[in-house]
Amino acid sequence: MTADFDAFDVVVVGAGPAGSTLAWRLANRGLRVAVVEREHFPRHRVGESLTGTAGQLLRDMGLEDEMTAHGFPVKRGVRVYGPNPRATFDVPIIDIAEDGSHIPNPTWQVRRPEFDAILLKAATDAGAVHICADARSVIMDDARVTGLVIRTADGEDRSLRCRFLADASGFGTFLSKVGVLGVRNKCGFDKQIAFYAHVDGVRRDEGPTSGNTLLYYTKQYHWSWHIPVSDMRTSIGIVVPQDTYRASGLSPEAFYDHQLATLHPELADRSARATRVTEVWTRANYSYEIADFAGPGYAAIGDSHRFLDPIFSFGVWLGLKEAELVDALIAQTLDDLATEGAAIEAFVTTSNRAQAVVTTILDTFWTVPLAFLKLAHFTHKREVAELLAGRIFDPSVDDVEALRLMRQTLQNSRAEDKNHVAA
Amino acid sequence: MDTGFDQPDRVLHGILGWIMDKTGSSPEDIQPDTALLDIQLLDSLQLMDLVFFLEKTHGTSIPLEWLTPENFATPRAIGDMIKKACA
Repeated sequence: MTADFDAFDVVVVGAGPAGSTLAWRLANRGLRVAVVEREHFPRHRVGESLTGTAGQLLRDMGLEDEMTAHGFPVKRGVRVYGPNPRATFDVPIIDIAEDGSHIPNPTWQVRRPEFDAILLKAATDAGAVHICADARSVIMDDARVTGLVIRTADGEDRSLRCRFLADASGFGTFLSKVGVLGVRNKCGFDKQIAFYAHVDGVRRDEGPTSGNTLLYYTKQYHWSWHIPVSDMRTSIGIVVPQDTYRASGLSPEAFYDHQLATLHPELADRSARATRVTEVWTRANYSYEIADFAGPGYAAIGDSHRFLDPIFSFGVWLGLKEAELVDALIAQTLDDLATEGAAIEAFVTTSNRAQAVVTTILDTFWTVPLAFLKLAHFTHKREVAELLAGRIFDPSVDDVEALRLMRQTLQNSRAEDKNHVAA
Repeated sequence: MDTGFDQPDRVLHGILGWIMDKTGSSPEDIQPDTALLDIQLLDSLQLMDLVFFLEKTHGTSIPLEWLTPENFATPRAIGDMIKKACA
């Protein structure tokens, strides 16, 4: 039986970074907001590295002191180790000053259980209501979403009425699963499998770059991340095609340990004295996209509608920025429903533009790596650094020459591939 | 007239000379068909330096989409790429 529970202006499904920051923004506007999260905090999540833009956003939220107090490692850049261990290049995290010059703009690496709890607490401190329950289905009124049915811990179903529903359920892809959005479509990187764990005793650089992300890659789509998550502890992930894993015949733990020693000589050297301190988590088939992710009374943000190859750590930023966009959308349209259609279209366009930029960067990195290296290390260093720092949402991004060159390169190399096939 | 002999290949000689200069290799080590990537004689940053050198020397520019491992497999493959760019 379904009992009427309460009415809110906005209900947010999921208390990850996207959901909690959206709830924080809306509550600060004085709106009545509920965040529905089925898991008890703290809980483990992957996605431990933030872009420069994400760090700036947290400072803008007034959370710098809290981030510092937690001792999250400061990330000043990313170093990429290519197939030949001598061929490395660094991408600093930068911001653009008013005079157009670039200034260092460090961000953080985070331990997700603590980070997610900080953001949820910011939301509830601002007045959002945290409801520990499982999102079950939506309530529709004609084509409009007007509420959410939840199941509480005692097994009772309750309905929450709302004027807008935001899906921030991450991999749960709630609105897709209940049929409001379309199905999950695979996109490109779906045949990958990731293994990750926390490891102590990994060798880092000395000095200010000790908190930086290190990336190692050898063959196409075989790569590893090194993300310092505390003074001692490092998150190391191994990503390979699923066929590579299946052919090994190894358990996840044995495969992980073997890859630490063999994927890349630099990784092997740095982790020679390392001890794994967690289980090995795995995730397969993780790349997807869902079309038409916003409509009358609803929008999906962050991983709840799309997830791509995570190599450049765009994930958390995409969620945080989409939360900002949907906050503005809700503020504008809640009392002026006539503008909702256009606002939703604008949100979808902006989100798709950013995702297309990420896709272009990933495709260039993986399919024409030397071209990516030329742009990132020699000819368009600052532009690539800006893109990787997360400046991917503004319409002006399509005028960035490095991006234009990447698109042209991909187009031409695909055309050449076709010619080869035809010949 | 086709003499049946290879014409002196200035592009290829330039490439072999640059590689020997940068790596301290001898002519015996570096042949037109030496598998550069397999023996990891040059890393990718040096390959880019070579591209910049060749672009300058031959007054041409290499399209980004040509920067594939196949086009850098051997000195001869690099030379063929340059000749194609100059054509």
